Amino acid sequence: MENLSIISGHLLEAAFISYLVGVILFTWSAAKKRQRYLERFAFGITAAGWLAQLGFFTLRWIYSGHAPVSNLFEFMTFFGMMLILVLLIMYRFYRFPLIAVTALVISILIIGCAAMFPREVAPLVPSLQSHWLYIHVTTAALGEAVLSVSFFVGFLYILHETNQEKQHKTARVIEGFLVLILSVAGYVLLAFLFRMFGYTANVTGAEASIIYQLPPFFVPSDTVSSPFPIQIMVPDWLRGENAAQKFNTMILSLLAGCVLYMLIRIFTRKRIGAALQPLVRKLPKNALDDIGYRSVAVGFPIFTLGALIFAMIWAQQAWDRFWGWDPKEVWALVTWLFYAAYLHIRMQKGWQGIRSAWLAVIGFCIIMFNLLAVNLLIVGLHAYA
Amino acid sequence: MQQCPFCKGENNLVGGPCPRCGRRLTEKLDMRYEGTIRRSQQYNRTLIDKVWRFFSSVRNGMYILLLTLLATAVGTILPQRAYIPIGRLPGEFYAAEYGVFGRWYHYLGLDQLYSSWWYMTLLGLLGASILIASIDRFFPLRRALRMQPVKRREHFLRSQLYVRHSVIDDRERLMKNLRARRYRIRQDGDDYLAEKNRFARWGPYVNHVGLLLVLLGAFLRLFPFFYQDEFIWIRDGETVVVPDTNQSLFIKNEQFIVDTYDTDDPKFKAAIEQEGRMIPKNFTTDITVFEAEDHIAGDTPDLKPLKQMQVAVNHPVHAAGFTIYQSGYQLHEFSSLTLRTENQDGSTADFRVDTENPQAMYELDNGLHAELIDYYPDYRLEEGKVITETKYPRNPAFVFDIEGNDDHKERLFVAIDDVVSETGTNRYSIRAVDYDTHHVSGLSVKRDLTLPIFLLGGVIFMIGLMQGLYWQHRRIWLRRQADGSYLIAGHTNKHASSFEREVERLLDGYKKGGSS
Ligand code: HEM
Repeated sequence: MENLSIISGHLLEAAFISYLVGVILFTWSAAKKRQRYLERFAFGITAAGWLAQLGFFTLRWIYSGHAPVSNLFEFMTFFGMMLILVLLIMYRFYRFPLIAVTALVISILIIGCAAMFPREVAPLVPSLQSHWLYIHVTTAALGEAVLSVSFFVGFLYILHETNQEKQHKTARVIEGFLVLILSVAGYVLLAFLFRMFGYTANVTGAEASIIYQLPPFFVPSDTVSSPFPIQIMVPDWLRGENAAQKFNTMILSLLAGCVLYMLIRIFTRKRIGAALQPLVRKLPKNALDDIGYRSVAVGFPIFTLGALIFAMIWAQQAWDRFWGWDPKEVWALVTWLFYAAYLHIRMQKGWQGIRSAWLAVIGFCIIMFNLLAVNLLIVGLHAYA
Repeated sequence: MQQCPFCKGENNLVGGPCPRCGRRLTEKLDMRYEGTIRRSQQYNRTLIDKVWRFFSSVRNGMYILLLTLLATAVGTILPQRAYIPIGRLPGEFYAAEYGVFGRWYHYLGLDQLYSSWWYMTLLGLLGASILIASIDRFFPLRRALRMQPVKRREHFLRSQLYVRHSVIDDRERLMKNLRARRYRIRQDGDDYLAEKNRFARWGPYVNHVGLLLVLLGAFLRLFPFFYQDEFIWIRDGETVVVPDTNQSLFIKNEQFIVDTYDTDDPKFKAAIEQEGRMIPKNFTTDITVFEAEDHIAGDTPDLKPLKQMQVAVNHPVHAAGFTIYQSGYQLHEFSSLTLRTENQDGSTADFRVDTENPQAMYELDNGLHAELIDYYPDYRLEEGKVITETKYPRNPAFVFDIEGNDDHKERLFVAIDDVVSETGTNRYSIRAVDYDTHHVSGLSVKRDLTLPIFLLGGVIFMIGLMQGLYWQHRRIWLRRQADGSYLIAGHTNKHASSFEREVERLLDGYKKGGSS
């Protein structure tokens, strides 16, 4: 049995590497003129990676005895897997390598972040022991994955439409967004490197001590001693659970993101948005707009079913109320309301195209907020872990 | 320069599509209700007309929806009052934990946002908006969908999304191909109308009905007839009456069982260690539900066993119109404490204090009297004062006045592991020497007649969603021209590009001679 767990871990690594190769190949084929074999190869590698991840999922399920969607590590890897699944299906209809690149990058980052959370197989508390656990979580994740497609194409649409010479404000917003995405990459890289070298720092406070996995630049305001020479006390009002540590991680990730951004800019010698634009310009923008709307039209019912209806049926059984205004529930409702608004606003004249694209970006931010921030910043019943 | 009629931007619109919004200047017909007028566009005189007009506008509806969204999100900035630690006073908690911001959050009532009058009002406005906007459009849509002549004016067809000319000799073959793609065909002279999935147009109306049902369900919950929610704690072996049932429903806890995960299980070992505590695997109560027969107030009722069953988390049971959920437990509550008193000459006497019904006075064998002055079932020291955190005997403490025969009185505070003399003298002593404990099972007993309404609303909503979003209403008109060729016009209510592909494929298939 122990072996299953080990094999399953290796399968996830294999999947991760395949996705990385997939990104490179898809980017290559996006940069060149149409090259069927290259695209096919990229698709094949990604599909193989997906199968490996399916293997990871299945083995982990067999080993732990329950669907591996019960903590943040498991849920995030599953969400990444659903993103890839949606990408693979979509690619059969719309063969645009750039969309695949965007989707893969986001999935890789999500799976990368997932791996930084505790990965042990955890037993299920009684309220989670229900078939609804995987019915609810899998449909909700699938719905969110389909909805995310509208962000991928929306972002490309914005890149496509932005006049890098004239619309400086929009161009800067795009760069800012890229820095954010790079910061996530920066976080994964930093966390991975420091973990590889086994770095930990024990910061002792007046009441408790905290173990940092990254160098502790920012420490709680009551710190007594820290092994690191630089100590910046976080302001007093930041006092949630491990607030200083989270703040430290955030700032370091942003810094790493900026460094990555600079490196890329040195290489491209213009705004990244401007460097990407020639690639994006090859895409037909009407098709992008169309795919964006379609993905919301398809994803919204799935999301409603999984994240609201199934969730409510289960909550009624497990907690005797189908709705309890728990932060995770509330943010599912916010997501739902937002995409309902998207559908109506798009019916109005003049709201297709670029404005819809911006809405799709906001929608994805809400989904990500619910995936990560609600668990990390706001405590609630769902707070996995 | 010219103004684009769609995005209102200044654009150089010579022929081609507007570079900003991508539309062509040649005006397409708004086919939503095929040009018919809605009530809200017709009347605007009385107050009712104005209100109607306000709520029927999708733009206003979206303002309400977005306001609701913002309000909903604001409620998660800090924990709602229902989730703050038991025993903390909200006024003190928010200020202490979150400073000035927390004080204001509490002061503005945002800690109970979801049951505030203004949040309810927002939901009401949303409901009104959905209802009125739907009714406003229902009738024109029905009229438009019913009256669909096959023959249409040339101008009507030319201003559709899809327009093409074609020579069609073998019309039967084309019709066969259309039928194979599930189009229904009507003919009028030489003209044709092929149509499919008309029902998709009703999707939004169906889903809005579902939403209104959900809102109705939420409204009905305010009435106790539809929604009753009780919570009981029952000790092992104890029988408890369910509150607000007119003393007619009783539940006995036959046995309560907790299982925890094995800490040595190699699979879960690491995770349990990280958690740092035992992780429960299962908790279950065996219960018997009784109904009281011919019950007269004040009498001990005759209990008739109704059902015997087992309730566990995720496995609620039904009895007497209620649903019973396992929703909490408390291990090792104190059922009684045995206290030992000591006289000044060293003679001792023990007595047992029941934590549920402590006596007011205990006469002891060694000649002492103990009078119970105060009882804290779950005591805690807060700023030098003793308070009780809950009313459950989880950490009981007593204040006794002990008196011998010589009128000397001592006041003593007694807890499991602590004795304090409040009078400062120490002639008598008292301490806890033994205790009994029990487990308590927390059951939630509910009657919720709104659940079927919510479920029905949800099902209808899903049906409407899929109906409107997974199918599209598509129409193809064929109008014979003077020269014998055909003007082909097509319309779809959404996803124009795939409709265009479908028509192209149909026509190409026809030209190639096969059936598509
Ligand atoms: C949470 C609230 C709501 C949800 C989930 C919802 C859902 C939907 C959906 C899914 C559609 C179909 C959209 C499409 O085909 O692209 C729709 C259409 C529509 N909704 Fe809503 N809606 C909501 C609130 C409202 C409100 C407040 C109004 C009021 C103004 C409204 C008015 C309309 C109208 C006029 C249509 C178009 C009907 C047609 O095509 O004939 N909805 N709604």
